[in-house]
Amino acid sequence: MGLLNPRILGLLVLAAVIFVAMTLWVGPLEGLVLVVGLVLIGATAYIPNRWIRVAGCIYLTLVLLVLGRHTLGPAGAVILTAAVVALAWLFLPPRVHRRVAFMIPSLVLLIFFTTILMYEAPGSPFASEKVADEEAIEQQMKKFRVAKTPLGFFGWFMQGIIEDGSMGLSVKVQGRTVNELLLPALPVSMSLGLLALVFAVTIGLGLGIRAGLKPNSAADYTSMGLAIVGISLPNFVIGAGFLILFALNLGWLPVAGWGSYGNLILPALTLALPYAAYIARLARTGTIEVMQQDFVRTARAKGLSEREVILKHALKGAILPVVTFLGPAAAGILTGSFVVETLFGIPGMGQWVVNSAINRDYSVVLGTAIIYFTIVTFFNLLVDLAYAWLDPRVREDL
Amino acid sequence: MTAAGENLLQVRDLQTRFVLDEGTVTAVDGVSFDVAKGEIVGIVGESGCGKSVTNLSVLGLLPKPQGRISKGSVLFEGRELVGLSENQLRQVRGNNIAMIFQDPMTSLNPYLRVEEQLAEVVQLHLGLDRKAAVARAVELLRRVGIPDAAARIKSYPHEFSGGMRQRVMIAMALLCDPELLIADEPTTALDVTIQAQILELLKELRAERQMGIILITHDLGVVAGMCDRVLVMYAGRIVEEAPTHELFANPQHPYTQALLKSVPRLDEKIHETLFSIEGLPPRLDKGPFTGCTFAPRCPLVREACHAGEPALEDTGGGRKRRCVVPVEELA
Amino acid sequence: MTDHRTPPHESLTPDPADTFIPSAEKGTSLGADAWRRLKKNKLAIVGAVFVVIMVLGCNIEYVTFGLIETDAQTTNLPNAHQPPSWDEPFGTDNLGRSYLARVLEGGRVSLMVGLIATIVSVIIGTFYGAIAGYYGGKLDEIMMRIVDFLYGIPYMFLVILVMIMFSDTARGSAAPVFLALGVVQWLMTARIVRGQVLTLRHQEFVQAARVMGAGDLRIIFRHILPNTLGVVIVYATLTVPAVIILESFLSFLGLGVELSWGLLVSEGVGVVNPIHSYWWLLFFPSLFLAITLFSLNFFGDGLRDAFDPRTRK
Repeated sequence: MGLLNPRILGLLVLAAVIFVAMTLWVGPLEGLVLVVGLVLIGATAYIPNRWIRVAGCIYLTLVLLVLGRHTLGPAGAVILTAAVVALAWLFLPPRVHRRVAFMIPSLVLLIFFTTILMYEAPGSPFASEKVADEEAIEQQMKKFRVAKTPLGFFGWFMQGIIEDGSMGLSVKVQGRTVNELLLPALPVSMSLGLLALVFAVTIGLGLGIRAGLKPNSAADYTSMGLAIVGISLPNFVIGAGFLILFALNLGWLPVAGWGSYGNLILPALTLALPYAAYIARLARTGTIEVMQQDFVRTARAKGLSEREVILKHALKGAILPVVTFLGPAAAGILTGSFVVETLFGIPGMGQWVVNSAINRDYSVVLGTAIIYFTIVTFFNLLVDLAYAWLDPRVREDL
Repeated sequence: MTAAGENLLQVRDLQTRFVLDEGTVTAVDGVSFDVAKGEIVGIVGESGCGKSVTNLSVLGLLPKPQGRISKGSVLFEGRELVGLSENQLRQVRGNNIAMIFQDPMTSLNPYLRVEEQLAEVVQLHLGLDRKAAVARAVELLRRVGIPDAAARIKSYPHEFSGGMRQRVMIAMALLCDPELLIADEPTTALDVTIQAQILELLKELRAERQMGIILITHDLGVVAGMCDRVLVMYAGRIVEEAPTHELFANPQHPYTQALLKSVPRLDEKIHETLFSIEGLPPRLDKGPFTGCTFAPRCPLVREACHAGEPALEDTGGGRKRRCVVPVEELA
Repeated sequence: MTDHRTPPHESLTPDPADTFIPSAEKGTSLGADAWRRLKKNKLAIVGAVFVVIMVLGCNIEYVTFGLIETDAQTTNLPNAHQPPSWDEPFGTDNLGRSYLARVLEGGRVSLMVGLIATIVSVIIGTFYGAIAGYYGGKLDEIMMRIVDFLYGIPYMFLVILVMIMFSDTARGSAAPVFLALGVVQWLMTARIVRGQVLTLRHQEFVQAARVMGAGDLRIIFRHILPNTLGVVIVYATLTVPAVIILESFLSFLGLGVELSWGLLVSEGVGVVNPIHSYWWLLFFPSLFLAITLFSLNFFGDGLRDAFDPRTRK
């Protein structure tokens, strides 16, 4: 009887609708794969805690084996996998296992769905080839392992990843693999993003907590005014302003390009400002709320100094909303870097995302998708753990 | 009954104001009272009558920057507290005068272990090192009836039940052997059976340590069982003060009478409608008032009530009242 | 998980804001209350006025009325790169086009992008959030997990994917941009609506409606959604500026619509340097964009504070 309750029925109907829609749009096989993928992801919500650990560890094993084999060799991979999985089995809380069990099929499904979108989008990587005869294109497609159907391409792509950890050949950048294009750009974008995140958090927390401790004071109005400026101006305008002021007029920092730490400061600051502004507002609200809590009054009644009251008792509660925001902030900062990288001429990932999408360079698009998604999900996991570490009441839910 | 020598706390003509966007509110006006060593003084009244604000004023814990003491004096063991610097006040808070609050869930910091929250008080005021501070905390937790205190001290507040949390709060308040404990509705948020246990504990502790207790409550049942003396507050003023049994036997203010009547009693007929006081307390931001603040709701109101605010007159036997109606008419 | 925020009890300060319970159930009195608070917030009112001025200003047919001689597309090469003057208050661009006309036209598009994408996002987000919140349980968990998943994809990536789905060329017509931006913006609305519905569905009036035999759909549409309206409006107001900024990012990357403030600003960024300073090409669209976004943000913040005064005290 349990299977026939209205919610399960509703889900079944939903699955059928998705299948039919996909069949009409792309093909029955694609529809089937999508539904199976969705079921796998949906199932993570239903699996009880006892089994979620098994699922998490299985996924972890698969990923580590694939990744490890190309960097450490087969033996190294097995040892690493065994060690990490054993540790994960013993120490990772169920919530993390659940996230892993959710993340890996999501990633595969993301690759699959992106493939379909690209194939169904108008244009193809070979559309602009001067010789448009069928045979030449077919040869090209074979050479670059671009299949006729999205499912075929997806199959090849996954095979490539699993067999030799390669994300295929770029169609547009002749003779280069996706790995060769993206792997050098990754650290560039990462260091820019991390520095921006550090700026955003320090500036945002500083301004926000100051404002929240004295609401409606001059400090509050200045900070929140600055925050509105940060939110209301496209950051490339601010960045251009920075460039003109600091680099061209004052000559303190290099104009553009890549190579030294000086090159990082202006772009990271530009990238950080809107997020600093959001964080400042969150921190302000959080501070105001926490300062009205009874336990802050208790702390004062104990005779603690205002400084101790704030640092020891109020601060944690005040920054919790900020911690929640860090996940979306990280995703935003990573993508915001497309713009900043273009403005400052930084050889990061951004250029590849934009160009590959415009040029329909399928494997590069997928490569960027995988990298971004992995980073963001991993970061979200860290944020979850940080949240639990800060708030003991959440810790039990893990 | 309260000879000056054993007086712990003397509050004289206290006036506390809040400056808000909407205007100035005089939340406490001309309140005077004493608390002796080992005495439990109850303060009763409706929500918003100024009982909490009075006691926050004593410790200088008014919300800043809106609230401040505009007049009056608070003497603690002969020392003036009004006008002390924040640093000087901090020496008193938690050390000589401790406070426990209504809701033990929100009054304990959810992000810190109980150990941390208790030990920091000891370290601050008694200057003990961490280890000694924790030992003292465990000892007090044990005293207030927390089973397995040495292990439980590592827990977070949410891992305790409501009653246990209030015991933790009490332990926290007692860490530095305060001479005065201010308990602001300590049992309001608790189950009835737990309430009784907590009150019993407070009584024991009073006897054991000879500390003065100010018990703020709106529950007359609690007052009857606990207090030596009661202050009745209305609209920021004390309207009556009396030894507990006399207040209950023979209230001398129409408001007190009404309060007592509005408590359900077992010997009443079930179908009788519960007595309630007509109207609402006056808006304190609409002051200053001419005449008695209770006049608009008073069943015995007369011409003289509107003429000017009645003074708090001494009617003998440790009793005071603020009313122009002759005592005989109230009986 | 226990909620540490218990309902407000006897408050220390007799501030009316303290006793305000920020739930939508109070109906008209809440609206009236919010309106009273909003009126007191000068910045928010000024913001609202500026928004209205911008919307009207950008949508008047200047050329038809003879207020501007040429439209945004008419080129006049000999007249290129003229600084602002009496005839051309905002100067001209590299093709000699009237920059005033272009800024106004760009504003029309930008505001439209903001509005339409917001409407798209509100519709998707409200339905999604309402269903997840109302049915709750595992369905809610799955639906919210999908939202988390989409949050995990950097939004610009999603926008670019949706855009290439619908256009051959990089810089397409406006429709794909509207759609793409709407599709990425609904996540926040969905989360907020879900949160609201989750609390509303347990309230007495919903229970009452259920007892009276109202169906799920009727309860959702007649009883629950109207009560989330305030919050949805607040977030919609704050979504408009976010979308306009996103569009400007797309323009900067060469992916936006054909003419918008974002496009003008990003072109302006390209031509301003110490060697030849066509400053007006950056200044005017930036100024208009900034004023509009300030106004929208101030107004949106004002609305939010009016509906939930706990945030400002």
